[in-house]
Amino acid sequence: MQWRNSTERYGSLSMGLHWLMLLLLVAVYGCIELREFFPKGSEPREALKIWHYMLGLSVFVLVWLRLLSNITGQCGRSYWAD
Amino acid sequence: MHVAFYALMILMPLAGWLMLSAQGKPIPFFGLQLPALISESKELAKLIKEIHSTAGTVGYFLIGLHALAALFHHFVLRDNTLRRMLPIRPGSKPVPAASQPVAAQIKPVADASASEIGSTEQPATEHEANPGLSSAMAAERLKSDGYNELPRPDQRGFMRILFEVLRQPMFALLIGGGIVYLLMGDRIEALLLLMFAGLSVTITIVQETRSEKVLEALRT
Repeated sequence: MQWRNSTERYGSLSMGLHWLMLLLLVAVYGCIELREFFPKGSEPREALKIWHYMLGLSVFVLVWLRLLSNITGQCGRSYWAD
Repeated sequence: MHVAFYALMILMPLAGWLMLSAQGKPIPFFGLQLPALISESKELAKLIKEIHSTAGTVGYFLIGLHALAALFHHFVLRDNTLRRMLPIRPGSKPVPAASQPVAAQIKPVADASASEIGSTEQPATEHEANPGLSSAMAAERLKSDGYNELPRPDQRGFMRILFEVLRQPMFALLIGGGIVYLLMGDRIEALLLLMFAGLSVTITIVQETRSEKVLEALRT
């Protein structure tokens, strides 16, 4: 797969970052929503919170990579296939 | 809309970090312990927590909107926006990448007449199968539709781009928030917010200017 973006397909970098970000966001939201199922102070609740923090901070790390790849890489426009 | 995503992806973790700092709690990061950004303050922690969870709800809506927009592009506009991002090999025959984006921008009528005009100049064998337009018809279409060229809107200058960027609700919100913080006497918060507003504006202007240049390059 091509690393760079083209008008036909996004490159593997953009694509990877996009879907990885989706997974991360699902996990971040999931952790913080699911903690409600456990009583306050219980171990799984605390663990979910810790994961919410760590994965959220991972978003913060990755977003700069995304921004950089977005600014430097041509993304081009979509076209109509038919 | 993408700027809103970036703002959230940057500001949300930052708000979380600030919140934990203000609560005096440790900030874990895969075995590391990140430093507190601000000193302990129960009230500030409460305020950031409220903003953080409200923005979380906004995030849900944004993601939903983003997914809907992708489906809209795919099923209604029928372009390749969604397909381009899917990690699946494209099954259908690839369309020449270089010619397509240009073609998409040309007025459809002018494009149609131009390609028909073009076909009259093709080799004889193909000529018989597809006789194309007569010279008279071609001349007539040229008169009614004009040349086959990209539409030429006025080129936007820097100030125009800046104005258009600043008019977007997301920036207005950020800048408004910064001003509210300033009025409340919270200089650090105001600075932080305005700094990110400035960053977003800069990025957007850089991108707009670049696309402006690309469009210009396509015309010449």
